[in-house]
Amino acid sequence: MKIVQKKICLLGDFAVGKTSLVRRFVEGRFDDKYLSTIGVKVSRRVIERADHTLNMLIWDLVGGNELSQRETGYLVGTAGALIVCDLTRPETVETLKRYAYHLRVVNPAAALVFIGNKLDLTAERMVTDDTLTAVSASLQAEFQLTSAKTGQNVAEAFLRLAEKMEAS
Amino acid sequence: MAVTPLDMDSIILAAHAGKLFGLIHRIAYAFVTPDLLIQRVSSNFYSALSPIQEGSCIGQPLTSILWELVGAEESLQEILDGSLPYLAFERVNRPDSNGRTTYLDLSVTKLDSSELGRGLLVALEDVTYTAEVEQRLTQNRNELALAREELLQANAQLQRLNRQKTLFLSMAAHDLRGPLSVIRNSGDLIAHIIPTDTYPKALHYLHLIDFQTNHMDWLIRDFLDLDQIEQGILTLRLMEIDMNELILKVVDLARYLAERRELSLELKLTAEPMRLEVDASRIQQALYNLLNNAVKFNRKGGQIVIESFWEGDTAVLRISDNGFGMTAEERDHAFQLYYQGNTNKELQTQGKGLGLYIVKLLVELHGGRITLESEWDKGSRFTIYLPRNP
Repeated sequence: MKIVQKKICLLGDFAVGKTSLVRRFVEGRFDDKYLSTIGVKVSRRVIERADHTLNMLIWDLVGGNELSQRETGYLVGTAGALIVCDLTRPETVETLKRYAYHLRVVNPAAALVFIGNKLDLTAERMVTDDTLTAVSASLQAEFQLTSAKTGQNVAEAFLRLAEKMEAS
Repeated sequence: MAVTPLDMDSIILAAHAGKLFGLIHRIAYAFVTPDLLIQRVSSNFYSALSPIQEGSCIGQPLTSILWELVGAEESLQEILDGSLPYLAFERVNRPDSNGRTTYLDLSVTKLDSSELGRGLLVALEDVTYTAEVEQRLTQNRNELALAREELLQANAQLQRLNRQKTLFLSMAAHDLRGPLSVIRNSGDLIAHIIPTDTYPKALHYLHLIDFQTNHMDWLIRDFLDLDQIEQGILTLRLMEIDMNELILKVVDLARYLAERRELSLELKLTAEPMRLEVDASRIQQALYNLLNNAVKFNRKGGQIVIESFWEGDTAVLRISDNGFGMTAEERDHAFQLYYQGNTNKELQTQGKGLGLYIVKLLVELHGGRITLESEWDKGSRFTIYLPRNP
């Protein structure tokens, strides 16, 4: 069966849960301890599709308010991205558009899915569906609500991105 | 200047220097053919990418060993064509054979040598030591930023709660004023109806009603003022008054309670005219609060002294007592909102932590200041300084 390799990136502010999402999707586990990522960690997950095998190379990038030249360079060859915000921190929504802009400068055709993570923290949630709908609609993207802690919707978000990449 | 060709010794030395540089900086190399297959690697290449087995790389596609280069095939081709000078990815995280993260700086450039032919030179520099320091710094910075965000959120929540509380107090205070006014007016009516010589005790009780309703009125006013002060809408109605006359008025208001507690009130007012432009009702309120405290926090038979004098262009108003006084801790927090000192066993009463806070704010609104000297079991001395021209 044909093997297709695709590079995808996880973007978003620090501590929104990018590394936890990758760990949940690739290793099926969650660690409560927050450890800041510096640079990039590339993980792999193979997904069997109807007519091919998809080898997803998942780039977990350093989180920060601004992408430096170093981080923008990481985006070369990216077929799609999950741009993540923290549902308990409204300020992490404000930067979603900026990450999307950086990605589209490097690859205008890149597929996009926005993620509102930490869905399990219901009492602390401060970002509404309406806010995420507005942000994603302005960039012709869609959003998913996930919890890396419980695993809710995590695989669905990655698979949705895979579908969008393959459709484009 | 003519370029002198290097002799063989220099070339050998340069090669050794390059090796030494590679060792010191922990740099590993690989040579990759134009069809992106690994052809040769330096001896430390496998350890740099541990846990990859020795010899397993040769002939393999570059992207199967360095999967970080998947998606970058176009850029690699541009390097081979000479249209891109190099490609670099810094701080690439890789787990070593012990599961520990190593950090590599990965760079690719074109190499065209007579010995190896045309291809790509891949360099991997192990920067773990520096990157770990960088990671700790980033971790600390991010944790601080998160803590700051949490504090800001908690602060905003506290401000919302405080506003709700003040609003509630303000509404409650407004609602209390109506019935209070009815009680006071009813007391006045009774005083006119009942012949006090027939019912001698009635006068005493009517005084008590009058005093307590007045006191409650002051408390309500404090609560309402607090609301206005916190909203920043409390304004002063300034007019020139004789401060000594105002002091006498306040002393009259407090005299009943002082007499009940058998306290002596001594007045030492300046003989000089003390005309000041102030909001009379606000200064009266401040003085009343201080005098009321001096009465309340005193023993039976105690003494209170009220003074006024000039210090240059500053009017000084002082209320001293020889009552319970305050501990150093109580003194330090006396003007803090809602601060309540330790209840004195002899006293069986406690302040609400409102009066002194409002006194300080009212004095400061007049451009003045207030000081407090106090010693436990010896008494307290409050001094208000008001400028002649606020």
